[in-house]
Amino acid sequence: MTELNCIEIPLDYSVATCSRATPFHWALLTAVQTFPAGDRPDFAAIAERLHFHEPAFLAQAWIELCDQAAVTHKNFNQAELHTKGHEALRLGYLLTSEVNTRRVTLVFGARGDRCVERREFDLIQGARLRTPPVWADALDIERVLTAMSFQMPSQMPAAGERIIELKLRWAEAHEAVATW
Amino acid sequence: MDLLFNLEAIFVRPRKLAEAISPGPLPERASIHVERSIVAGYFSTFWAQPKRIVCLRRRDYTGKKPFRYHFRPCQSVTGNPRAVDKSIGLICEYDEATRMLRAVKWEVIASRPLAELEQIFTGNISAADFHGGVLYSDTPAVKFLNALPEEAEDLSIPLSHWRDYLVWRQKLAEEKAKVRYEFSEFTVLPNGKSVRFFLKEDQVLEQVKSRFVNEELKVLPLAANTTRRPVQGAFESLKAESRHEDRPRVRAGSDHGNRQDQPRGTPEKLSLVLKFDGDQLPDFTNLDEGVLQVAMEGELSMIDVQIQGLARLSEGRAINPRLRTWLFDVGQAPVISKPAEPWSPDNAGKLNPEQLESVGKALTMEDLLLLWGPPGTGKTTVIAEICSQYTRRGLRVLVSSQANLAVTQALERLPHLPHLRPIFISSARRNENHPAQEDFIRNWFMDIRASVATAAPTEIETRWRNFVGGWERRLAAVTSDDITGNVTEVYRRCANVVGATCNETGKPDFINSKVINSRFDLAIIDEVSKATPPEMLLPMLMAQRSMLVGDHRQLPPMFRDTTFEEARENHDIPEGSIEQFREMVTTSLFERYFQEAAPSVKTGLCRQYRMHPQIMAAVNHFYADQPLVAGDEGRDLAHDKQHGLNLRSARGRAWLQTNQNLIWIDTSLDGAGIAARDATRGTSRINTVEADVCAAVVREIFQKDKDGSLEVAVISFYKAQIGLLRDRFRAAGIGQNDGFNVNRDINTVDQFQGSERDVVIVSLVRTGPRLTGEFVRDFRRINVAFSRAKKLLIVLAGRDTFAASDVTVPSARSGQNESTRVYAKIHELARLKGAAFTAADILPPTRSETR
Repeated sequence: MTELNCIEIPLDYSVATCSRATPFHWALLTAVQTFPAGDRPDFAAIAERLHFHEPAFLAQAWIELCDQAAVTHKNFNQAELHTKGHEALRLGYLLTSEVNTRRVTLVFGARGDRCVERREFDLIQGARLRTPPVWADALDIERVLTAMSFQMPSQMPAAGERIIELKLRWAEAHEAVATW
Repeated sequence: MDLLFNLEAIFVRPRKLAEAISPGPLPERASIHVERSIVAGYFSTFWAQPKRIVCLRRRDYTGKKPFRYHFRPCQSVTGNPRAVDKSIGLICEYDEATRMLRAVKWEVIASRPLAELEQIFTGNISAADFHGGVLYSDTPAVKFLNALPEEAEDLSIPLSHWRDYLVWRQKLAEEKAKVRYEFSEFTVLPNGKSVRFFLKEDQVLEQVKSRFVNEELKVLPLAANTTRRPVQGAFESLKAESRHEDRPRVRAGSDHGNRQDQPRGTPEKLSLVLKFDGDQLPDFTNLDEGVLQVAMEGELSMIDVQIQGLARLSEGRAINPRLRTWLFDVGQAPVISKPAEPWSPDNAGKLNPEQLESVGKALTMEDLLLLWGPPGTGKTTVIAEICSQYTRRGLRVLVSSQANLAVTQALERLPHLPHLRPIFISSARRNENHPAQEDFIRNWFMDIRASVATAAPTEIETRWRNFVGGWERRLAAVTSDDITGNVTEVYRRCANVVGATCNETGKPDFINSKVINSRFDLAIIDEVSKATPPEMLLPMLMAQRSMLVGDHRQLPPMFRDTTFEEARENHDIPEGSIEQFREMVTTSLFERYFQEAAPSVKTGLCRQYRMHPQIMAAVNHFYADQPLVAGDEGRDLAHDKQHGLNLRSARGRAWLQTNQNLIWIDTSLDGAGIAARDATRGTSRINTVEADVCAAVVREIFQKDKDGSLEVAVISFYKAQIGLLRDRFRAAGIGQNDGFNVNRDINTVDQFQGSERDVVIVSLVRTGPRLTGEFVRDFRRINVAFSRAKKLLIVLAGRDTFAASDVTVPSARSGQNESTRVYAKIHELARLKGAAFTAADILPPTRSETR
């Protein structure tokens, strides 16, 4: 039997299916954000100023933004950004589904050098953690997903889904002992 | 006036017409009745009323009827009679007996109307298929038809000649496809990629060899009703089972004997080896016996594409309707009369006066421009500049050639500017040498970024400056995820420089493509001397203007992967048959165009930038009437083209010096002083002494060229020698760590036209007292072989064999030829620089392997 001193941390994260916001989506969203409605350069002017010279790329990208409801109006000159449009500019992705928020609890070794690499194990919860451990800042998304893939594989983002937001709730973390 | 039509023929298969007429997409399973009703509705409402119809009569080149009549409706009675683009037209034949115009085809009108040829018919029009209307065409209407001016030239004679040539090619291919040999068993060879098939009946080895060498073969099951799909493999070798080793090599009879003999011999048990592509061998389970057959589908479909091209020309479906007036009489091509508007080159500082003049003419040409460019004179640079200038003006260019290599090279040389959106179209199997679509798009993003980077700081307004700066940062982060399906689709649709082989541009998928726009303002056909006229025609049909680029002093068109002359020597073409198609199989059409065209529609380049002057001096034997000059433009070409090599032989003797750029190594004797002999292998030849010398030289070059700056190639006239050299290089691992690709960098002259390398070694193979056959004395082949090298040309050849032979070359007096000892003169150029060596200077003092 193996016994490991651990830290148990709740993780809140949001996932959604996404498509890449191409440079042309970026150009249109940025143009909508930069230039006020009614006083916006048209596709041809933007294509020239951005040096790609062919407005057809913007026309196609605009159709996609409208289909994704990233903008408020089909008329480029009148449109404003919807939340999805703002999100696309922030994330670099266009959300193509509703955002789904989930919570899982992950268990890492107390020294932070490893996670529990098992799906089934016994856990005895100890005291609530007073302060985050020194390795808390080093816990990046890659290590979080690795832990999730061992401990909660069914909660991993599905194909086509991306993690939009991820928060480790250190205030709710506990010391624990895992055995398997 | 009353005109009566019979539309029966176009109701037989109405789907495509119904699709063209219907404003929206047709249901996938629409019945034929629905399709017919759509077509009938169109004609009853649009045609079967008093209407203005634009008529045209064309001579029918198929010869069934003297004329075909083309009808296209005006948009409205009062409308502009020229506003007919994109409407449905009918092509009809007039039937005297019934006094009806029988529709034989329909067409989407796309070409420009011909104001001088089209007449407007304003009478009654009826269709016999619908109730009511007139019963026959009345006399005034028939008179109207007969009075229509005939369009352009009568193309029936020249076109039938081109058509006869294609029919001849078709028959040759069909005959080859008919040859079948049954096999009774097979074994997979230890390499896991090749299979030996044992032929059922006794066959004459030489005959089977002459039919299968260099071919792809299909392996078919014997039973015709099986569902097994044929698999395809490349012929590798052939063996008589009574002998111990594969011997597809030595042809019976003398090495230097008469090669015109038909293969002879005694039938015997044979087995042959096929090599299969891919990591896994095809599934041969349950295939106990079967048939081997030459795969000719590609060849036949290519010929069909060219036949269709002739039909499109004859039916007036060329984008430029004037093409038919000058195609067979180039003197009729409109002259270039106006000077070019001022323009700035995108290849700043790189164009010489002739190149600038060529681009200027391309910008003002009406229909045709001919550009003659000897080796290394910067044809591709001119093509790239023209593409850039055309696309700057919002125009579209088709870059085409007989082979992929010239097309991809032209696309690679385009300036990196964001207004250029190049793409390469090929329906062939994906090939490592074909540029990928994604790469074009990624490069385009990079070009935009580079252009924006210089512009961003100059934006005055803050909003724009931030926007453009952000755009540059976004482009810096472009990944393959950004090249989405939609971006790719728009890019393909908006591509303004499209590269494709001539045959590709004639395929229905290209012509009717919904993915790319297949109408062009200019078609540039590079290496035009290598294309047969029907091939050359295909891209010309797709553009308003045509520019033919080439050099008729380089290689002529190919018969499959050899020249026609070589194919005749190999018995692939019957004796005497190519003479009647001389214009098809030689460079004479381009040459004739150059002689007969008005001076304003032709231009030429003579400053070469590729070769060291010593190499240029050798090549100038083929341009005595208009010699190449070093295109220094103030630089010293002799200095720039230094190879920097000092080489020593296996015996420690110094031979190559840095100031020697044209080398001749006499291979008459091997390292031990034994006379070298070439040998026939299949229908080609090998020379093992030259293979040994070549391997030794290349190994030495790579050892000395520590920083890997020199690009090396080995070329030969003979395919079998290429095979031998590749085997030697692979076995010895020569060049494998030096970026040397055996398949790419060891090649035949014919495959190498259009390429260049720092160091080129030419293996001429032949031995004996004199040269026989035209193949090795064709000055165009020698010209191409000797003009590929930039810094160092090494000729491997028996001095006495070659120096004693005459070669017919263009003489210094324009338009005339003379017979001269070119090889001897080139050897003399090397000797004068102390650069004439022997194999013994290079090889160790041992005998070369004779096989």
